[in-house]
Amino acid sequence: MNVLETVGLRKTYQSEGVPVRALRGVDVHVAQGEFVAVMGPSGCGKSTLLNLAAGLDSPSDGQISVAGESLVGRDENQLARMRRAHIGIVFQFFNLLEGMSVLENVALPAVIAGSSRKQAESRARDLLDLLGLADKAKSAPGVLSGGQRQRLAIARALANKPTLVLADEPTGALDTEGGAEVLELFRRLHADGQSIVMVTHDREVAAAADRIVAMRDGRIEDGSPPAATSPSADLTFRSTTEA
Amino acid sequence: MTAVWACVRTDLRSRRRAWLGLALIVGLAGAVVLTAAAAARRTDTALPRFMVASRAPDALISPQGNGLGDFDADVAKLPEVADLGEVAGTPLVGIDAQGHVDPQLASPPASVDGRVGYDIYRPNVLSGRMPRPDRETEVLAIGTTAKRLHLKVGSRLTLVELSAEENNTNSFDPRRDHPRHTFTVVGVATMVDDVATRPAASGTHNLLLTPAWFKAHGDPSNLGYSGAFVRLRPGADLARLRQEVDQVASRHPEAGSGVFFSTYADRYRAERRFTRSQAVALGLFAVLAGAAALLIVGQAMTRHLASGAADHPTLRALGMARGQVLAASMIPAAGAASAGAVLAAGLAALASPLGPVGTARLAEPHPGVAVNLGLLGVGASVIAALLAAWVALPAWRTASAAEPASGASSGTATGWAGSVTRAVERSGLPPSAAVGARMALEPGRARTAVPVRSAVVGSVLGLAALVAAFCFVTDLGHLVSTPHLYGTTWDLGLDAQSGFGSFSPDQVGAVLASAPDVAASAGGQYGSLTIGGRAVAAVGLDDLRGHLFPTLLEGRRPAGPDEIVLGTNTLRRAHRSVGQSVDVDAGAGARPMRIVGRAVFPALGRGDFSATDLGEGAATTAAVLASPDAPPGSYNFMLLRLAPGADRHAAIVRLGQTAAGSGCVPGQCPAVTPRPADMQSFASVRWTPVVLAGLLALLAAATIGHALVTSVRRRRRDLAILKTLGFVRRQVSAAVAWQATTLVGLALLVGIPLGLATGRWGWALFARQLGVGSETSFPALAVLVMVPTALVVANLVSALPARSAGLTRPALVLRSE
Repeated sequence: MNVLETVGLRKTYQSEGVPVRALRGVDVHVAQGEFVAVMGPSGCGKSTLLNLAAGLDSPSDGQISVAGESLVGRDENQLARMRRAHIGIVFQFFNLLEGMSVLENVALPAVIAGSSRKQAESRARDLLDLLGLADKAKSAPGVLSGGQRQRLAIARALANKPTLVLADEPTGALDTEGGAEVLELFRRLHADGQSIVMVTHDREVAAAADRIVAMRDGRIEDGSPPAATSPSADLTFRSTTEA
Repeated sequence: MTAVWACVRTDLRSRRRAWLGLALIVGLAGAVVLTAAAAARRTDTALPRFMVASRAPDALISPQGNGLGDFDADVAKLPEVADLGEVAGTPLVGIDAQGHVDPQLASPPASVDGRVGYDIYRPNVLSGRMPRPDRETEVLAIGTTAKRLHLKVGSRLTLVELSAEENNTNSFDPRRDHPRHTFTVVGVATMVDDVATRPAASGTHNLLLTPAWFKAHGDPSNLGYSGAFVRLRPGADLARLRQEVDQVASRHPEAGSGVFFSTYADRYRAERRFTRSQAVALGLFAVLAGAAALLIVGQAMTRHLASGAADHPTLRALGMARGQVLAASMIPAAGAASAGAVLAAGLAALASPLGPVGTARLAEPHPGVAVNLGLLGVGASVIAALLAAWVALPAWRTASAAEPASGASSGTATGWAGSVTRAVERSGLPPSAAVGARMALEPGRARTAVPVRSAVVGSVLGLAALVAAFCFVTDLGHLVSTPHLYGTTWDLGLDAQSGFGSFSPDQVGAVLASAPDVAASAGGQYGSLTIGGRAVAAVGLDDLRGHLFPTLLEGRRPAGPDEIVLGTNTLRRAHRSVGQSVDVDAGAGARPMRIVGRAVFPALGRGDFSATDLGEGAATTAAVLASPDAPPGSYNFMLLRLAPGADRHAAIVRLGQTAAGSGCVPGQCPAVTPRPADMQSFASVRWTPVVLAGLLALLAAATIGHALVTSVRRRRRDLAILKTLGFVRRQVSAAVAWQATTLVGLALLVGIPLGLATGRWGWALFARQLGVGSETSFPALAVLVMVPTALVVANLVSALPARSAGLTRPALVLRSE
């Protein structure tokens, strides 16, 4: 089963009255357990693709489904419920809730999804332990290093055991050591069967994935396995052209 | 300094509109505060200014006979007397639609010598003009009479002239052919002593007739009364003046056997207390509005400063000293505050015709625009200084920053706030509640900073003030509606000729014989005592049946002529306590009397003249105040307490019939003893504290609204994150509603006990000042209603910010942030 599937996906923004075509017909299929890197220069539409996959934005045209469920035509609330069940998001700048402790940040998605606080905190402790942040549970996110903050964001993304983790430039705000830490974590998660779509403009980072989807000017330009391909990779990609 | 000015110029160029907007907000908020403060000042000074403009009399000297002419001329020569004007009660009366004498249109006074109303005791003409002294048909309508009879400039009024016989017996024979006099109202006015404490039924405050009318129609043998309004020289000895007046009277047999001598000082004090209470209320409003405005505008300025502080680390790195960065921040802020303060003063000057407020408006001798340069100047300076001081510390902090605020410090809720948020999280309430509680109590840092503390403090203070006000109002209402608390331990009072006459022993006996359902009765004498050089309204009381005396707070009633009971304030002014002696002059020289008790006095006094008033007054046995020629057992008034279950209405009818021939004025006797003047004053402004506290609560609601709006705007990133984590729109909106609920919940938890304690303390203080007992009650209903009302209001206030939060578009926000 494809955890993410887009067909002819288009997105046009209005910027100061001028239409900006961010996506110009994108077809992407990501299989269960796959680790895909979406690569391209700034403004190529990769973050827009991620936002559409997360249900944070709606496409102008085309189809998009996550875990076999179409996102098109769903209202904002339905998309939010969809995110609770299937999607974990990791942002470049962490987007942690600074007012909450490390533990509370991780527990919150599960609480929102309907878990009891006890269950949510238990799961959060497990995740923090797994990600090496157990001793920081009561700390404020603000005192963590960049790498730790991103690991915390990843823990939060995993709180509801999502079908798909979407990561937007997860190493973009980190130093080399922090970036390596995060990539190693993604590899471990992937090895455990977690489906991941990671947006990056860094070829070295992208190399950590099973497959690289290259984008340019709102289109898929190329899709090829990195040097060391994962045996589970089942790559399909194509780019549609403008009508 | 060049670098500082360069920074200032850049700031003003790039944020000109924002600074102008802030100056405008300062101007508008400051104008409200300064307008209220100026109006409070004008309200407070209106009466004293009116007294000066009026050339208010210090005393009325009214002999039982005719004092016009020689007697008054001799009084005018006394060393204590600075000025004097003659007045006479005319034998005219108004007849109502039923053909009865209208007590409020009885014996209107005429200015005999053209001085009263013109040179002395000048009224404040609210509309029209003073009657011309040489026009006999022109009349001035005064105070409540004008209002009650709808008299305006140009109104015509016809009065009938009673015969001397009718006048002497307080009767009116409708079959008789009475001369009629028609007048034209040329002005409506207020007298200096009835601005606030209006006489209920009076022949002295209804109309003022001209000297021309008196010259043409006045008959010395047919007058309601005659008297002289007297202005005293500074430091005049009242006791000595009374003795001298009695000596003058002894040389003028036409003046009769006794002289009624009434000073106006107590009355002016009561008036002043009343207008001052309104001024204090307005002044309090100014202070509260100023505090709230400082809180809100100060926060806005602080945030505006903080938003411009991003460049400070760069400026420091470039070599600017901390003081220079501080100056670059403070100069535009101080400029905006100063410009706003000047604008506030200008707007307050334009709004000055709004003052004075309340009844003091009647006393304002110069209505219209009045610019109090001193107050506005000081006020504007204080506004500018306070705002500058408010932003100085945050400006100093941002000027000290060597690195940009990164948000590394979380600004999380700690201490009690952290405990509250954790309690909410563990309470099993939905996630939106926990998030809302956090948003309510976490101040945040840098770009996510929200005025949490001011919202919490503001809402706590607003609700505490409201609860305290309800406590106060409940206690005041209890006092106003519970006669024994303000001294009245009887049901009805009977005055012989408004207290100027006497019930003979036979008449007293007849009244008691006709009233088997009277459980207790006392006979009394009105009078005045000089205690410590001050005139004190007094009553002398003897039990006639059972025991009856005003409410005693301490000690016992006087048992003999050497004992006296004083009101709390009178006692305080005499620097004495119960058990001690005090020198008292009842007209025959000072002598020591033992203070045996402290009492609360209702309004007991002759006609409109000096009456006892809660903590003001004295009580003795009747003999102390009885005139030397009065037969034993005669009294100016009687007090009656009905037996439980007695038919009050029937008693009033029966007593009225019995006493009709005994000097009881029909329509005024028997009557319920009026509440003391202070009680009437405070009853009329009873809800003022609630209105003021309500305003404060409104400001608190505005503070909460401001905090919510700020929170939603500054935390939109957090709201967007919540949405990415799965919050639906309704949950985001609910979080904001919970934020408001948390703030108000806290305010209720802290504000209600704080308000109850403050209200009780305030009432105890107030009661002590009034001279009544400090019995308190609990405003249970108000508190019960306040809890859900506050929560509903908070949620209503949160409705718009909550909707706005719900509409947060995470992709857009997270991209732009």
